[in-house]
Amino acid sequence: MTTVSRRRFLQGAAGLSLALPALESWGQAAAPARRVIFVFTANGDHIAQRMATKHETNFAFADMLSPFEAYRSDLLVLDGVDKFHGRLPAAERADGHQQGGSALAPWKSGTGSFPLGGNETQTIGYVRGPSIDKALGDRIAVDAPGLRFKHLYFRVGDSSNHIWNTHAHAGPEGTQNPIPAETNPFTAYTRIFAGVDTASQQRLLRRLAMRQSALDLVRGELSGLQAKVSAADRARLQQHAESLRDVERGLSALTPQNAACAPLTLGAAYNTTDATRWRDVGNLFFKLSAMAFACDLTRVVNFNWSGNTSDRVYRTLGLTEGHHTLSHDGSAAAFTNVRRIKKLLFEASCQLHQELEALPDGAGKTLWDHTLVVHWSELSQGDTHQTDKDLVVLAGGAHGHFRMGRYVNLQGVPKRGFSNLLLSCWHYMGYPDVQSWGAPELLPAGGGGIPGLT
Amino acid sequence: MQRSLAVFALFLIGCEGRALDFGQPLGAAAPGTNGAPPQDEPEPNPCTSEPSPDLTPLRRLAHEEYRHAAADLFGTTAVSAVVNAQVDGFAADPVSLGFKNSAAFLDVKSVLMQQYFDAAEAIAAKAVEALPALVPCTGDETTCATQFIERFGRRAYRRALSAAERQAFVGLYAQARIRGDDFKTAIEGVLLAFLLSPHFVYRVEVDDVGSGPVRALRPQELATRLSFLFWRSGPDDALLSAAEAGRLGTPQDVEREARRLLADPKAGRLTQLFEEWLDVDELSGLRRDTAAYPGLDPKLGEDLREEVRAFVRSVLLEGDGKLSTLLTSQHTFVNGALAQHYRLPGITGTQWTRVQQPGRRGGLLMLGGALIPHDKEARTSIVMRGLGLRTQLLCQLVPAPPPDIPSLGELGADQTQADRLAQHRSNPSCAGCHSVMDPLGVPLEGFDAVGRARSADERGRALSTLGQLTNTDVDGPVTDGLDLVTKLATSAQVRSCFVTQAFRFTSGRKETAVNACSTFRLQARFAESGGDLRELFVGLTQTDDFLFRRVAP
Repeated sequence: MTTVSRRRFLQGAAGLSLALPALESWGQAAAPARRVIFVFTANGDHIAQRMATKHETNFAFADMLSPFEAYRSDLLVLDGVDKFHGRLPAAERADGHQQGGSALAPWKSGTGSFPLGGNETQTIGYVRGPSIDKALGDRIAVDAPGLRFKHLYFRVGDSSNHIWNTHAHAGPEGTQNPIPAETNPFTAYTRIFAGVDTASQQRLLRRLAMRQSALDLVRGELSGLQAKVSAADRARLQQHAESLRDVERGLSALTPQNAACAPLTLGAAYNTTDATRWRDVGNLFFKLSAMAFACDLTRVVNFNWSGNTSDRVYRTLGLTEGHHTLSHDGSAAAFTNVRRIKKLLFEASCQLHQELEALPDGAGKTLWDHTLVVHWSELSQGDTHQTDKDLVVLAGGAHGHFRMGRYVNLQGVPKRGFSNLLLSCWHYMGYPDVQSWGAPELLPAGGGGIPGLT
Repeated sequence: MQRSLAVFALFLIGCEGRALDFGQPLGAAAPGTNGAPPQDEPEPNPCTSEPSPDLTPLRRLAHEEYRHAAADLFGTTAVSAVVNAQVDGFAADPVSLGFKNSAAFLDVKSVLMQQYFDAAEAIAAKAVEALPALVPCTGDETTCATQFIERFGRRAYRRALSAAERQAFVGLYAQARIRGDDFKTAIEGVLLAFLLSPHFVYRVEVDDVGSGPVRALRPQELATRLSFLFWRSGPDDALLSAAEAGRLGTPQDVEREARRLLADPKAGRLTQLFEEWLDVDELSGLRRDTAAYPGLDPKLGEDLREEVRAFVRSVLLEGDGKLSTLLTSQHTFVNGALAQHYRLPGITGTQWTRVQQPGRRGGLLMLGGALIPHDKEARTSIVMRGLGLRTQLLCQLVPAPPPDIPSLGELGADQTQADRLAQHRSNPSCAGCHSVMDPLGVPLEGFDAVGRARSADERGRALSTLGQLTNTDVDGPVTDGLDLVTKLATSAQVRSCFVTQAFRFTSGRKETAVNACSTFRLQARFAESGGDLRELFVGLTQTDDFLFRRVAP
């Protein structure tokens, strides 16, 4: 692509006084950024059938995990991560799928959104606190104010953002604030990469003055209104104003000079809610994610193959019953199918690994070397709804932060919580000061990451 | 409500045997334990001489409201097409209590802000293509622009612009001209700002200092509440004029305008309530197994939605307006494709035709679009249909399954869905919930997972439609679907629950004890009218919660 330099950009907008973010690092050979992408697959797996050999280094995958074999030296297989929902009083437990699916936001669930009882008198609600993708993004934006997107949140499949489909939350702590997922990679591409390809850049320059004056007026109205409304409404308007700033950042910030950063060709658009296209949609989101990393548009992605409780029918496996339905059957035949589905999803997830490996990132390195991939699910196993023995697979070079190439059985390790795992992610991303994350009830005493991973 | 009730796995519900009250039905007598029917003694009137509205969050337009409000500002098919394309791409809002317009969750996060921005640009660009119609101008362009800003701003903001606002927009226009933009481009910039304005995107109600704790709504605020309730859009010129001329100052004025709005074709947009209530709006993504259901029209989901909308309009706007009619009337609407799907002879083409339902079928709940949103891809789901009736129609709450569900082992190859359900109703840890869900789903087994009447199940076995109403005020055995909906249509619990749903949808929030008076009056009015939905919607404009506003502390 032709990259428009910042100077040329400014000339193009001559005569305007634009507030450009501080982007002094441009043009310098900055150290490769730290990135993380969470990859969700639904309905747990089969606890007893993960590994053929449970040895730290000479481990052998059972069939379900075999698609990851090619990456074994860059994997850290965590067996037995505990979401610690069992520590909550019965009255504060929501549904295993719903609460487990919101585990990137390991807070307690609220009430009032869905007519199932988390206990016997209350409907269940969204979790009351931010997910790590949002919180990390906020923190990174402080250090890298030129970054266009704090995080990206994608889901494959139906577009409804109900409680089962929602895996990202804005917080702050104590607040139900679900984030709607983007489900269409074609519109997401247009949104995220505006200005990266030269055609839209020309459009951008032409429209910039009109946009800027309209946004100035709207910003003034927003701040005027904030003074006149209640505290809760003020928070809503502040969020709106922050979103406005995000959009402005997208209008004015340009892509750093990274040779790997280039427009993508997505092909002809199609109905992205068509269940038979799930894998195609996922692949497009993987392409987008990798390129967004390469262009340093974001450093955090929350990707989901589906919502939790997904009842997608995997027809290519010859199935007619949905994933969730099968996961609850409990029969040997159903478990076989659950493992086949899981294997298919892991195999599909390897496309992300390939996208990351394909994009250069610094001398002799690729994005794979500078990214952490976190494969996770809402449950440990579907038929029992349990969340105390999760399988989590960390993948990628991740700047050498983790000692990869290992299988780690967490049984008996006190700090084996999902919250501990997320703290390990915080530390990898360069924030060792974060020692506590999520509701205290869900975090073993003392906080901190899972021991022995680095 | 929402699609993924799937948390209720077919085989593994374990709970304590209670269908619980999912928020007290508005104003109804508190049910006893185990979801027992309301007591006979009337609830005392909670109303006092002081109006008691609950707090109202600042309401951002729901996406369907944005769709109508933006399109109505221009009133041209060209702009409407652009609006539709843009709104269809908006990230779906969080669902709460089955609806997509819960004020607490309607904010503007980054993705939506970008989508608003793109939509505003596209709409503004399309709108100025017909500039002479939009801004007729033969004289001085600045004068024309100023007049346009005043006229358009009044519709976009749903009130006259303040002097400062007018000045800001005129300044925006002037700035563009100084920059070298032509008249058309400068107007485009003005439209962009209007469409992005918080005064368009939110339904703003601002309190003066010291006006609390409760104040009457201003006429312009009432106009906006009225138009969004009935039209899901901003007020028309007549309604704004009534407000400005002091003809919207009393509850009687409000009722008069409510009836006018309800008589307008735009009131057909109220069908959205019914679609969201029963998850019919989720059918656009309808997926079915091609082996189990070969040869389906790819537009079946859309056609089933339109059938529901046409049916609701026919009862609500053109028929007797009764809830009982809505739940039982044995007519529907089909086009050629849907007639073929239902195997109704003699109807072809794209026109929608009113027909009598053949056989024992009637009412909203037995329309294909209401039956199947929670079915599986290759079969019906007795459990999900039953759960839907419990939660959506009866406003009851069913406990979530516990974290330690016992496994029931393998499903026998020759077991039907009904057999399997009977098996786990015999398991004490499953029976509690399944005994309240399944017997409501079984009577609807006469209809398959694509909404067609049938006499055999997916495996070709004879099926039973014998069910049981329990934990309601119309308990007893039911023989089939029509018997079920006919009994439900006489239920005070169902009537009361619908008031709850209508209040939630139109208010964008859940009822609380604070608005007990509003809900008491609504219940009374609905009951006195014999369950007349039109009186319910008009009644919604006569409550403390509609006419007054609690000033936030």
